Amino acid sequence: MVPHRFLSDYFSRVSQGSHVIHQNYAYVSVTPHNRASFVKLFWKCYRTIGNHGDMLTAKEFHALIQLLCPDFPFHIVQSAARIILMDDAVSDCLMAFQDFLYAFQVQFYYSEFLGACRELYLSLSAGSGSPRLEGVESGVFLDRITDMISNDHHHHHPSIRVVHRILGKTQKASFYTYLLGIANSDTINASIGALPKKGQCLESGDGGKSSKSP
Amino acid sequence: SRSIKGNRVPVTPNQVSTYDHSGTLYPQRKVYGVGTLAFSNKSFPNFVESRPSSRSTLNNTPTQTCINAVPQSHTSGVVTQSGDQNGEEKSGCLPGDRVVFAESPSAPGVPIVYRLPEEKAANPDRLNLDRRRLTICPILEGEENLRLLNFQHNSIARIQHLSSLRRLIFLDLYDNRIEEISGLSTLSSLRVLMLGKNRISKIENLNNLLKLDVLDLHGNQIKELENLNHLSELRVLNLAGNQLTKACNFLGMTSLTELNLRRNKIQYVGELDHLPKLLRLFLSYNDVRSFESIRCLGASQSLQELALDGNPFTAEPSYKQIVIDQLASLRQLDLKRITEDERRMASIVVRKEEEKKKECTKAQAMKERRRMAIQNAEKLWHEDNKVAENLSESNANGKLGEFENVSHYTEVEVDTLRLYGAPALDGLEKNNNVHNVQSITQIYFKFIPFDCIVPHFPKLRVRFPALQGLTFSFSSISSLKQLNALSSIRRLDFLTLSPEGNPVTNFSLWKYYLLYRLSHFNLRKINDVDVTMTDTILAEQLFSSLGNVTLQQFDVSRLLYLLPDVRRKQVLSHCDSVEQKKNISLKQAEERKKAVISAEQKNRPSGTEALSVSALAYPQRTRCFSLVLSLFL
Repeated sequence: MVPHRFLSDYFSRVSQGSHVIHQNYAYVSVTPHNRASFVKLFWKCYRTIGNHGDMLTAKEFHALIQLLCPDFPFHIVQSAARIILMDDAVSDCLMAFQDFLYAFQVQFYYSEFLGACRELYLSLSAGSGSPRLEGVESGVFLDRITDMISNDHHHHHPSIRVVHRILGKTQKASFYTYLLGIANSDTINASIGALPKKGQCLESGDGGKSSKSP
Repeated sequence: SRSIKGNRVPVTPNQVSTYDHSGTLYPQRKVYGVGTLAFSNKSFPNFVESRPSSRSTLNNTPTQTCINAVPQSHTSGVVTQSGDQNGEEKSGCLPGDRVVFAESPSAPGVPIVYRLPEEKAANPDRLNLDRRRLTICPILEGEENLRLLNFQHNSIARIQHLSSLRRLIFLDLYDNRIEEISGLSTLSSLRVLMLGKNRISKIENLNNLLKLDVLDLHGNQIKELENLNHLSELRVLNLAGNQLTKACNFLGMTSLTELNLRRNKIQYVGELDHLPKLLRLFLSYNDVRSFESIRCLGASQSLQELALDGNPFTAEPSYKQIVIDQLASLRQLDLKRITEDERRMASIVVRKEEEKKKECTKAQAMKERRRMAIQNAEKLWHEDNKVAENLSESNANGKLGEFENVSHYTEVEVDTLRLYGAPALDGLEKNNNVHNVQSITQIYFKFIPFDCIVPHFPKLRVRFPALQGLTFSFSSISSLKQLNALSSIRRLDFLTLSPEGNPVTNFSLWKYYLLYRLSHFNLRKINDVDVTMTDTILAEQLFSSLGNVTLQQFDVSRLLYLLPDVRRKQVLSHCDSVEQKKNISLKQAEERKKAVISAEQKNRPSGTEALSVSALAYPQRTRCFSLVLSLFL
């Protein structure tokens, strides 16, 4: 095995997104591209399970993920589950594959951004009455997020327009409806480029923009 | 005649037996009865024969000498007399005592007994005052020569007014109300003292009665055997029907041949070596529970007759054999003669019993050891898993004892090897516990973390060639990736992951993943449920994409790395030969990979896992690839 051939093999796989399998978490999460590749890998490996209609718990999804990345942490899977289950996540609640898939995508891909949004939300809701039920003023929330995005150059984030659209729908927004909006947004999904549209994820085929035809 | 039930003695002189207060009849002990004062040779052989100082009148009649008692009604100061009882006088009996009761003005209420000179001359040495309704010992006027005195069946509460009777040999106070032994200090010649059926609670004040031969204290309330140690001539001691709880303190009673302790509460007998002449010992109806409490009897070389009936000890199955075995000189047990055969059989039976007991205690000890070890293994497992709720079994008994440090256990049951606790895994390495490795078809792991067992998998089949099944209980298997490790066992028919202590069994897909990952095993049963074709097909459907994607995404070198050395060489040589044959260059990565994959498929022996599947490895150290590659980011 000649070194230059080894390296060329490696980089071509990177561009295809097939370099993240059986690597450790530090590698898999280090760049947005790796994250997206991993989400895609997860989808490809387990879409047959989705096809079969089995509903699984967060722990089981985590076990499946760990078959691909042995030290993948549970808290990301747990946060993804909370998006779907609206924070009432009892650990044994069952979720459908495609619901989990899209929630996992945004939670993993935008984990820093979503964490920051949560901080903002909590600081906003600390003042008002019952934030859980009613949420916070969408407009205020949106402004805060916009500010954060423009000031923060370290972490990647979804386009502001999409966020605007999601939060513009209602007067008040709870955090989980906001997250759900992000998870279900086709635009965001397309911009990540790993998965096909939500309705089509169970069909066979490749989907996503950065892939070679099989 | 009076009824026996009322504990009265029948009047008919023929019946000459002793009754103690329970009314039980002891035919051999012919002491005396109402109406007769009889001395059978059998009861007092030595008394009659070897006491040259005793009066000749006593030795006259060889069988019985009777004194006919004449019960009289009596009131103080009134003299009444009745004649001999009609039809009950036996020939040879002496005429009844006729006495005169009087009272002295200087001692009011105290009767004085006079005998007419003729009476006295006829029976100078014996006086019968039974059934005279006496409540006080009367003063006996002029009876200094008296040798036998009978006060039976009165209501006397205190022994008094006997001090002048220096020649008294026989004193009978049976069936009175005496509460205390006293007033006997001058009677240094006394040989027979009958104090049965009174209310005596303590043995005392017998200090001067050094010649005492027979002492009868049956039917009292005596709690302790004491103050008898000076009675070195005592031969017969009757303490039946008292409240003794133990029989010891026999020092000094060197002449004792018969000891009656029936119907007490005796649990322990000791110091029998102080009774070198003891021939007969009666312990019927006491509370002797085992031979241990009467072990000192084994030391006696004189004991010929023993009665233990009515004791809890007799319920033991080999009671008789133990006693016969231990008491070599014994001739009669519980009124039955011991035969030669019985004696021979006895020691055999006793040995057998002892061995059985030893086996039993050994078995029990082993059981306890096992229980403790497994319990400790469980405790450790729970600590590791920090599960607090299941500590019901490992109770806080605290009975750790010598087994405190042992927290593993190994056992073989027919064809199953069971290991409890992580240290037991050593048994898989050395040849210690398992003798016949060829016969082991099942191995059962309990309370052992899965990750500890994994290193042993590759050698398992080598060590146990007949292995068919494995069971993992409380193995902390929590993730599907751990199941990948089972592949290194290479071959298995049965696999059980018990729901207890294995959270992975909560996943709905675990069995299918197992079937997919270990498809080359052709497992027959998982958790005792048959594996059906449907299951296998479903497993393939669910997870085949996982394998395919993996294969697609691995590069050639990584694929080759998955193969064992031998096969890798095979595949590479096959590729080279293809390259040569077809005269094409396999420089392109994709083509090379295709060649490798097809070569591997062709040359794969049956029962080996597919390349796609073997990519799913049990996570160990980080592969060097990712370390290297991470440098490029």
